[in-house]
Parts: sequence; structure tokens; C-alpha cells
Amino acid sequence: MIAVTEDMVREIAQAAAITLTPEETAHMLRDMQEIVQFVERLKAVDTEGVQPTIHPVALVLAMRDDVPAQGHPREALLALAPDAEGGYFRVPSVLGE
Amino acid sequence: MTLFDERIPELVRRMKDGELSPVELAEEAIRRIEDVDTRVGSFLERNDALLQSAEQLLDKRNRGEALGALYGLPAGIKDNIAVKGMKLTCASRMLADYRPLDDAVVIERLRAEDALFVGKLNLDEFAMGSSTETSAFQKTRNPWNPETVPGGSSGGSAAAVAAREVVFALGTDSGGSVRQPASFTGIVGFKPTYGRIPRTGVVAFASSFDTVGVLAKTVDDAAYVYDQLHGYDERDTTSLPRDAEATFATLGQDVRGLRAAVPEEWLENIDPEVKARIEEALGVMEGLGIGVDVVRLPHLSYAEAAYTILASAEAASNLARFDGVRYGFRPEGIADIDELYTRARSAGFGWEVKRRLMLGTFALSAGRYEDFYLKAQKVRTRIREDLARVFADYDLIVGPTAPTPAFHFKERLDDPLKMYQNDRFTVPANLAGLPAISVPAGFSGSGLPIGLQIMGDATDDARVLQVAYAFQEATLHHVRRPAL
Amino acid sequence: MTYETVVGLEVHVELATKTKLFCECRTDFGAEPNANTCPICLAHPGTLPRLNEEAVALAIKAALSLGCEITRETKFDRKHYFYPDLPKAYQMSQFDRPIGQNGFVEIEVDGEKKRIRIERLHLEEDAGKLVHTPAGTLVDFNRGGVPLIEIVSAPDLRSGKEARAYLEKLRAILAYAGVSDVRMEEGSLRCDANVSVRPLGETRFGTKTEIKNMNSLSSVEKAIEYEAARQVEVLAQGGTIRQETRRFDEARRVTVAMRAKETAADYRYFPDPDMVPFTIPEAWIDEIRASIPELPDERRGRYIEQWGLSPYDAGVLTLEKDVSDFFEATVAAGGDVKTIANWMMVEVLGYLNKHQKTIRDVPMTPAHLAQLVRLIEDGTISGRIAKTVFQEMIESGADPKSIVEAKGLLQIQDVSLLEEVVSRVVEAHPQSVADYLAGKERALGHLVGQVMKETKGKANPKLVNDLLQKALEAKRADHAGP
Ligand SMILES: [Mg+2]
Ligand SMILES: [Zn+2]
Repeated sequence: MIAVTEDMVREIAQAAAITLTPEETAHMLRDMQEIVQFVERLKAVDTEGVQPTIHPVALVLAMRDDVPAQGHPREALLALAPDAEGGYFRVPSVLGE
Repeated sequence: MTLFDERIPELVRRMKDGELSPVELAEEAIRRIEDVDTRVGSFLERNDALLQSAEQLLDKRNRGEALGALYGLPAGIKDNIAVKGMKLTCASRMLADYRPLDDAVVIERLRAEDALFVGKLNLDEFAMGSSTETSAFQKTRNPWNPETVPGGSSGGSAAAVAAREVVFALGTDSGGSVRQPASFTGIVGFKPTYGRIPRTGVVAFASSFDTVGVLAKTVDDAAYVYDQLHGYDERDTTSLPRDAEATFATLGQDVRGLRAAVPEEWLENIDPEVKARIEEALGVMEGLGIGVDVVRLPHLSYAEAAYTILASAEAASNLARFDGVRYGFRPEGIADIDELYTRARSAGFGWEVKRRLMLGTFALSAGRYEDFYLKAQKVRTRIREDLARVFADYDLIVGPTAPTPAFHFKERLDDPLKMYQNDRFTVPANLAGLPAISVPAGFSGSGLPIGLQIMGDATDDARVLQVAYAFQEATLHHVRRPAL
Repeated sequence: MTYETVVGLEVHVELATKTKLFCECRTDFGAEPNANTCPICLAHPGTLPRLNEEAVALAIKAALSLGCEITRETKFDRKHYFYPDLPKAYQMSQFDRPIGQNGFVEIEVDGEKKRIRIERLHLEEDAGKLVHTPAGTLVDFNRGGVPLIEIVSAPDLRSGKEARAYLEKLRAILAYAGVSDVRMEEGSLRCDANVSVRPLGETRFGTKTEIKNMNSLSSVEKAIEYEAARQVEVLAQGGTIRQETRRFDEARRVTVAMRAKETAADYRYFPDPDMVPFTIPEAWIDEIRASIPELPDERRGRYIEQWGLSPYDAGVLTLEKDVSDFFEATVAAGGDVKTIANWMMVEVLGYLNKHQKTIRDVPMTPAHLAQLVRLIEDGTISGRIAKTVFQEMIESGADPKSIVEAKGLLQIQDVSLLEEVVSRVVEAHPQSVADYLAGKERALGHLVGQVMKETKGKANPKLVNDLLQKALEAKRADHAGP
């Protein structure tokens, strides 16, 4: 049985790029403890030698020919950005290397 | 009785014959929405150009051009499906202002058949939920009882069809999101085999589960619309290569001699009224000449847990792209890049989405992957094997769509497990990619609809629709409509 | 204590496709920022990947060229991290089923042959490019989604020199196979090095550091040598090596620690659910194998066997495909192979090296070089004059005949004219004549030099030699006379 801890919640939130307030952290801790406990029931299933299912239906992957196509003009794509400058998307400074 | 109570093929015939104009139908949609939508709350955005589009269709007929199979039909689209020129919010603050540059493949196909788009319909945020309560924007009410939820996540789609605001609607079903709201609102919700309908332009929640489905008043309407949607598209390499046969034309085919299995656990721990309606339904099926047996599927009780892990993991990955860089929500006054990510995502996503992103990230993280994600994938295989064994002997699996009728607002919102358990009977079809439908099976004592679920083996979409149609025609539960 | 350096290289190579790995955007270098983008490579909601068949074919071709086994059942996995140059916040890569496994590259350093194992070769997509400005960071996604192969060597390299040799060989093989243009300057080949040291004889590995930002072959060599020396120094002082990522500072020629991450990266790999796993058919592998052209080692063998070149010369001439192709085209245009080889080795490569140019940068054609060699062979110009003509030819692109004519560099073949000069020189250098007659053969060379000087190098040296010898033998006859 895995014990979900507050540290774990903080670590996962960081990995998911989400910030939680102290109240939210406590709330998330309760929810996750409950859900993780629920899904841990899977341990009871014997899966010895069982292949994982990645996809529900059997398909042969169709590949694409290497032929260029021009889609939307760059301006239409940049227009959707919260911030753009001189043909670039702009973000706050990336610190360090 | 409104125009929208008529069956789709008949409406199309009348418009093509000139007895009825697409403009009249569009006006009916507008009138209906103005009448009832303040009470229902299905629409997130309405198409301002609806009447012009209807007039263009009228011109098209006047010019003597060939008319599409969905000529003039006002359709509603779940707001996680891209319609060019309209917003694509997924009921999330994250995408409140996002407008896609292209139509989804399903929208291209509807357009090619001359359907009309009335607007975008409410849903649980990023399709995560079973009540449409997690929408960041508004509440959608069940047309049968405004105190209850319409189900979810395609709650707006279901409510709009039930309230006769549209003739049909598209939804998406990753764990029951088309079938469960159809069951709650007394309409038909059809989720075809995974891959039958291309996903391109449908915002991914859980890629290996997501299936576009049709919500309509009747099975025949659903089959008729579905026939315009299925078939391979090269832009979705997970769409099925073989074009399925047309289903509408096969409705009415004899279902005598088919065999249906009812999983034992689907009749346990469910609302007594649901149980009663389902037992009546099984009796009706026997009356149609379908053999019904109760069977045991050893791994079915793990479906919900496996689904919770796998769908959350895929969601955590699929929603990582929402970072406020190329599109979408970006808060003011950001100092550096780390802050951009966390602030955009913390303010852009609601609680349910965060909860699933957390669980998905947890299940994929180092040291937990084997016990959670990989284990769930293997259990998914076990469940598929169980279902395959049943389908070796049976043609169908039947039972309730949901364990209860529509519940009240806030009843389950803060209890994730109770909420997730709503999907108990619907997730197996998604785990195995199977076709399944919810069809009206009667009402509770308080007048809330109850749905019967019919599931078939992979690619047996036509058979599922045939049996559902036979059941519908034998029971006529679908003719009752909400008072509103 | 003596330490041994242990190096493994991770090399990223851009494949020579026309379009990106999962969308139809172009891959050309130097386009306007974000001109080569679309909703798919910008990770718009609702978009799905469409795998480029040519990228898979080129990856298989690269893997086969490096002696790898092909993984028949393969798939793409998502590698997660947040960074503004990565639109989906995951990179499509291959985790446990790389397209190629267990290959090798043979290198030769200081006459010693060595086999460097390749652990894996996998397909993945490139990220975008960041431009830092005072008003924020700008992002260009043109490169985002361009197909890459990542080639990971075993820790078999023992010095910067070996690492360089490996990289040179790897680059040559990939260029010959035609899977990439492998230009480090344009970033189509990028290299990271894992470096550690250990006491000689020790079998366990020491703690490694990862070196990034090496932009040329020589910086790879220098960075590794520096880093190994640094680690030895730290250990000698009783310190310990920290596992970290370091950046090579080109200007100062040192490695510098980069900002350390607080937590170890957890990429949360899992199979991409938007794309099904796929099987590479045996027939496809056979077809690709059959399409692989002659690779550098084969070509080198042919130069030795067929043309009798020395192993060293054959090695140098095959190291770069463009150089080797130029050499072969020159031979095909006519002329003595060994003479051409010599001109390639000394003059052509010397010039390119001195001016930091590639063979593509100069206007000279193989036909011109062949013509030059023939002009020497048929005595039209001397070897010395030829060097002058070559300088002009490699810079201007003019053909050697016109240069010779325009500059009046035609060799003097006129016997009577040369006889005159010879007799003049013989008269003017009695000491040399005496030395020659006394049996000092070397004196002949001095006299030849004098004739060449008088004729400004245009005399046919063989003719001069003959005439001088005739004149000197005549003198000998005089001396021995009555
Ligand atoms: Mg890599
Ligand atoms: Zn693109």
C-alpha cells in the first residue's frame, strides 16, 4: 500500500506545472489518498505474463509521404499567441542556460 | 410538438422536396433556444451566421445543385470539437478565447452533407466529469428536472437534443460521456467502435479512449447521422481503415436468434428503479427473440480503477501542451518562464482537471509506473480478454447505462469516487474500444429517464444499432419528451 | 596515479527529409522565423501526428549503415518536460524499442584500429530555437518537429582524439549513406559527451559529467581533453566528481558547470496513444539495405586494392564524402590516379585546411584538376608552375589551360634555345662542373636549378637534365682528351 504524502503531492504538482495553495494541497492530499487507495485494488489482479494494452483496436500504422504542404500563413498562427514579436512567439525570459 | 420531434430522414426529405425550408428549421432552433435555453443552459456559443447559412442552403436548392444527406439539419456540437470560426473552449478558462483554424474532420463531413451548426455545447471541462458541473462557464440543467444534472461530459449535447434545441448533436465518449448523459436525458447516445470516426480536430482527453458519438432523439436518427461520419481519414492514423457498411438501411432487420449476455455485477449495487427498468427491458428483448443469459466477467469490477489510471495518465500528457506560449490563457504580470507555466495552468484549469492531471502524473512517475500505469494497461488486457470470451458465445452485452438516474447538483462533485463510479458500466466499452449505445428504457417514479445499454463486439456497430432500434420500436419510451 | 579517460557520445543528427516527422511543414534551414510551422507542430488542440515514412526509412538506413540490428516491432514514446521550445511539453521519441540496436563504428587512431560499439539509434523530433533578448525570450518553431536520429555509443572511447575519430567516421558513414548532410555548423549534427576518469586497471566507471555545446570536431576533442584533465585534478586533490551537466566555453577552452537542477529529471515516458505501435516489414529492410551505397570503409579498401594507394592516403581521401567524390570525379576525367591522389592530399586538402573551407566552397571542378595533372604529364608545364596555376585555379575557378596561356607559363621545349642557356650556365659555374666530373652527382642538381632560374622555371626539367648531362659528358671527353 502506497501512502500519499503532502511532500508527494507537492512533488507531483511541480512535475505537472501546477501550483497549489496550502488549502488546495490539503484538499488534493485527501482526494489523492482516496483515489490512489481505490485504484490500488488492481494489485489483486493476476497479470503474470499479460501484455499491456496500448491501444484498444488492432491497426496497421499508415505512414505519410514526404511531400511538403503549405498550411496556414504564419500570421494566422502568431495571431493566436498571447504575445508575439517580429515573427516569433514571445515568452518571459528563460533564466540561465 | 415541434418540427424537431420529427425524424431526421423525414425532415430532410421535406426540405429537399421544398415542403419545408432550411430557414424555417433554423428559425425554429433560434426560437427554441430563446424559449428554453435560459432554463437549460446548453449553449456556450451560438452561431450568429445560422440564418445566412440556412439561406445559402436554400439558394443551393434553388440553383438545382445536389443536396447533402443532412440538408438543412440544425446540429449542436460539443465544445471540444473544432468548428472553424467558432470558439473551441472545452469549457475551460484555458481556452476561453481560442478559435481553431480548421474544422474537425467530423465537421468537414457534416458540412459536406449540408448540415447547419447552431452552436457549441457545454461540457465538463476538457470532458472530465459525469455531470457537466466542472464546466468553467455555466451550469447545464437536465430538461426533465432542473434540479438534476444532465450527465456528462456531453451534458450540453444531451440536454440540447432532449430540449429540442437542435435536431441532433455530436458528443465525445471516453468513459461513457455520450451514453450516460443520453441515459440521464431520455435520448439515444451512440458510441461507435473506437476509430470508426476520425478524431482529428477533437481535443484529446484520453487518446486511446476518445470516441466521437452521436446524440439524437431516436436510434434511427442516430444511425442516419452516424452513417455520414464514419470512415477512415488519413489525418487520424488511429481511425479504422475499412469503411463500415451503412447502418441506417439495416435497421428493422430481424434480431431473432441473437444472444445477449448480462454481466452479473451490472445488476448489483444499483438503484432499484434502474434495476426494475433493466429487468423489464431484458424481458422485452426476450420477447424480440433474443436469448438473454446472466454471465460472470471476472475482471469487470476492475474496469473503473484501470480506466481512472489510464485516462488520467493520457490526460496529464495531452494537457501538458496548455502552457500559455502559443495560444490560450496567459495571466498578467509574469516574471519568468516557470511562473508562466504554473500560473497559466493553475488559473486556467479547474479542480477536476487538476485532480486528474495530478493522478496521471503520479501514475506515470518514476517508481510508480509499473504498479499503476503498466498494471492498469495489463488489467485493460484482462478486461478485453474477458469481453472477447463473452463475444465468442454472445452477440451482445446488455445492462444499465448508469447505476442511477440523474442525480442532483453538487451531490457528487466533491466525492471523486462516487462521481467516477457513475462510469462503472460505460468504461468497459472504452477500455476495449467496443461499440455501445444507450437507449431509453423508461422512467423512475419521479419521472427521470433511465437508459438501457447495448454493447457489441468491435466493428459490430450495425448490429448494436439494429437491436437498439428493435427495442425502441417495441417499447416507444422515446416518444415521451420533457415538459420544460 | 595514472588515470584512464572514459567517454561515450550521444549524437543527434537531422535527417535529410523534405518535411517534418509528424507534419507536412518544410525542414529547410534558414527560413523566416516560424514560417515552417502549422497547427500540428505548434501542438494545437485536436491535432494528431502523421508519421513521415521517409524519416523512418532514413533512420533504418542509418542504423543498417552502422551495423545495427533493426527492431522490427517498434513504437513512439512521449518524453515529458516543460520548456518553451517544446510545444507539446513532450518530445516524441523512442524509449525501449529504438529502431536500431547493437551497431558499431571502426576507428583508427595512431595506427591502431578499434571498434566502438553503438548501443542504440532511435528516431525523435527536434525542438524549436530560443532567442534571448532584453525584452524576453523569442521562440522560433521552424526546427520543432524536424526528424532526428539519436545515436548513443557505448563508453568505449578513451580520449578526445578517439572521440573525434569516432565522430569523423560516424559523420562520414551518415554522409555516404545519404541520410543527413551532417553539418555541425548548421546544427544538423550535434554531440554531447559523457566523460569520466578512473585509475588505470579499474573496471568500474567513475562518476561522469555530461558536456554540451561543442560546435566543431576540434571543440569536441578539446572539451573532452580538458574535462578529463579537470576530473583527474579534482581527484588528485582528494575531491570527488559531481554528476552534472557542463558547457564547453569555446573562447576560453574550458568546461563550465551549468545551473544544476534541484531534482533529477523524470521524463515519465509512456507509449504515445495517438499512434499505434508499428512493425517494420522485413522486405522494407531488405529494400533499404540494397539501396545503401558504398560506405567509407569499403571505398577505402577499393582505393588500396584497385588503385594501389597507401592505407593512410586512402583513409584521408575517404574521410569526407565530398572530398572523396571530388577525387573520384577527377580520376574519371582522366589522369594518373596516384598523381591525382597526391595533388588531392597535398594541394587540395592543404588549401582547404589553410583557408577553413570545404570542397563545396571552392569553384574548382574535378575536370580542371584532371586537366592540370595532364598538363604536367604531357610536359606542357612543370610541376612547379603547376602549383602556381593551381592557386589561381582553386580561387578563380578558371580552367588551367587558359591560366597557362594567359600568364605565358608554357614550358620551354625548344632544344636549341635551352642548349644556349645550358652552355652559358656550364661556363659560369666551373666549380660545379669540376665537382660533377669528380663524381659528385649532386652538382648536377645545382646546375639544373641554375638553368631553371634563368628560364624562370618554364624549362622542361627533363630536357634540361638531358642537355646538361650531354654538355658535361662532352667536357669529360675534353678533359680525358689528348
Ligand atoms: Mg534525444
Ligand atoms: Zn508543422
